[in-house]
Amino acid sequence: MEPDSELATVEVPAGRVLSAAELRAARSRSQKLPQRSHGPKDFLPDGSEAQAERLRLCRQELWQLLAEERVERLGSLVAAEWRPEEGFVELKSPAGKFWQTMGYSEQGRQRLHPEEALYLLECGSIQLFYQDLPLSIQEAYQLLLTEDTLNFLQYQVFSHLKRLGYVVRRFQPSSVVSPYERQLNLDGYAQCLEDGTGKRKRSSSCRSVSKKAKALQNSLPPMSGAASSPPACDQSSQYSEKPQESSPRKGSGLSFQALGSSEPCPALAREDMECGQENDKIKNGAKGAPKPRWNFEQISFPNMASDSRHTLLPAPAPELLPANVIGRGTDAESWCQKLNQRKEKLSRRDRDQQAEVQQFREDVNADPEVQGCSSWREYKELLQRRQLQKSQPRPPHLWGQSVTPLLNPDKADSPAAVLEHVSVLQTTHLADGGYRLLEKSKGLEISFDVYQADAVATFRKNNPGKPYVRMCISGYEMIEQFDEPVPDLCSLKRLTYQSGDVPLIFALVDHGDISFYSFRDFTLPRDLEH
Amino acid sequence: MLVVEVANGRSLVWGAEAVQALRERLGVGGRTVGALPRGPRQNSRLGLPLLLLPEEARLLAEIGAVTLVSAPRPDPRNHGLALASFKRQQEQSFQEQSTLAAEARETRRQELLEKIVEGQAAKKQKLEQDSGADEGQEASGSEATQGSETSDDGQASAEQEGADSSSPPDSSSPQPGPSNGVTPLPRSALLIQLATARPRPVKAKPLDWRVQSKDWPHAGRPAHELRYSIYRDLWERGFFLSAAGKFGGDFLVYPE
Repeated sequence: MEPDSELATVEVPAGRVLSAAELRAARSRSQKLPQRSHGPKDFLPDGSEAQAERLRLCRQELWQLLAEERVERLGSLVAAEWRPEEGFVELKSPAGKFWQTMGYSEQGRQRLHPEEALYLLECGSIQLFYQDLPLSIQEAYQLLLTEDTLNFLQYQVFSHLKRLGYVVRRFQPSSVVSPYERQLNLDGYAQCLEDGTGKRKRSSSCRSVSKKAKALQNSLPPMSGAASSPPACDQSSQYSEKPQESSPRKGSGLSFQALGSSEPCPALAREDMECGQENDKIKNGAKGAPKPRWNFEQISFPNMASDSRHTLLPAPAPELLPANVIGRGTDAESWCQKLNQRKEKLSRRDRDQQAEVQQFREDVNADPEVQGCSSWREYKELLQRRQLQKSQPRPPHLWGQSVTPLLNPDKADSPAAVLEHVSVLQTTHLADGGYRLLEKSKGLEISFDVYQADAVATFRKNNPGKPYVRMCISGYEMIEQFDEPVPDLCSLKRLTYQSGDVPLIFALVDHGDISFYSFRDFTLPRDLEH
Repeated sequence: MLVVEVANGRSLVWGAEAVQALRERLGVGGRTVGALPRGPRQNSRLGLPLLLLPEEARLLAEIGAVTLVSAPRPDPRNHGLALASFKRQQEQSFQEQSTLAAEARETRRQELLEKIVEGQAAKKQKLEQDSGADEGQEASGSEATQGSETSDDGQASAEQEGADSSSPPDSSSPQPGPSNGVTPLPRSALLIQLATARPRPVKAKPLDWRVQSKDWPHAGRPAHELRYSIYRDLWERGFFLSAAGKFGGDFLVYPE
């Protein structure tokens, strides 16, 4: 081995440089890849001549393929320059076809990220210069893949995905739209602003319904299904009377959800009827002036409010329902009480009135216990006892000791409620509590946004839309950064929260083998019905 | 003596002959991780560089077959020289390619001389027949001859060589006509090699794999030592080992 003095250096031999004749000859080589194996796969060496021959052929092809160099016409190459201090590659001549999905414009110049430039160099689309010398691929790997730009593992995953055809871009945290923003349709608004056309695309029919509701309130968040918005519209007029919450918008949203969870069957039946009628009405309204088919004088809409109740719902006409759906009539009277779980907040005058009425309802002296009191002090004691009893209706032998019953008898109305109290594990979601972890910046980070391959034709760099998936990369080689390539729960939560509603995929690179895995939320089913 | 550059604990081999020697002579495989020049947009077959496992690199260094060096940084002192030599080499290549292209054109013309003459004669006959019909025919007659020559050239070459790759330089440069002038190759048709490995020799410092450094963080790590001892043992028995990340293990062992 070489002596270890400072001056001793080893000469690294140069790579192959093709002569002009070889360059010209390279144009006529075949563009197709030879098939991988000549014949069926062998599992064990059997020492036969045929096998040895096949092996030799395969090997020869492999060496030939590896030894080929990239030869391109100068006219088809785009010149690019690597700027190390700024960390990007600037294009010197106009970009080609790759500009549709890669690169970005800044100050009137076209630029590429280092990983994109390296990928294009390997494809033979650009010629990369550094200080006026063209870079070989080896030099480009060395110069472009440093710690502060992108590391080798991330480039491996990037090029793997690009070769498969995906559109891969760097992760932009500002592009993450929270579900609330999406609900408010802020993302569509922002996109419109960027587009500059000012035209709002009508993607779902529920928006036309929400426009109708706008007359009642400021704005209605578009619900996920069209079927859900008609009852909300109807209920909104009733709910706005009740002094529930400060913002009526939130009120209708929340109460709709309470509505949805507490009454599945009649709501469905009602919705079916309403949906058919509402949609028809909208359609008719949109068309213009034709007379509606339905005579609304005679059709009575269900009404669960306290005035003019109409809770007897007949079965809907079978021709209005989709196939295999059976509608039936219901009496929704029993649900009326369960409708509003909140206690009514009476106004002060009402409360006073009620109290007065109660006061004068009975005479104090008619109470036998009061008659049994002979002095004012005894009466006071009686009152105190009654007070205690009222505030503590619970038997003291049960509740006074250190071990108390788990539930009140009136609170345990179903086995599910009992289980709730007993359960040790709570259902959580992966992204819960993630916002608290955002300050931690060390550790695993989201590297790329990946868009699907079939979106290439409609992909716009200024407005890429929601990515298909986001990519986090780790590997066994980065031992000095983490102990384990598999992320811990803290990182998982943080990254899932950062990613928003786009699924997150972890890429694990083990010496050239890339495996993709992801974590999913799921909820275990409960054994008992409510 | 093979030289392998190491950077950040990763050993990459950039020469195709080196890869072949490692595989056939020494039984060390490695994994190709780069794009294949012939098909850069597919994942089934990858090309250079070859990534070596740390165990493989260490084994090769221990048996003395390979010298591990730290990846050299570009030296600013040599830059001026390198630039000058690159420009010279580019010009030279351009001249050579022009000459070669001209020669190739000439030889092809000679081969097809008979066909060209035939075609010219046929055209002349046709022109004489229709000469009275259109007066614009005269002006376009010479162009038509040239056009027919190009199409004949292209057709014949396609038939003969079976590859249309030779026509791009011809179509890019203007057709010289029936005379034998040497038109230079246009700059845009110059063929460039995008080198895979560094085209210039460079000096690098050897790496001691016994000592932990930034480029070789594996030295002394118990996990690495364990893996290495197993790798070495199995390699000495004649097996061929490769990484088994796809199957969740450490190594895949093949009988050789």
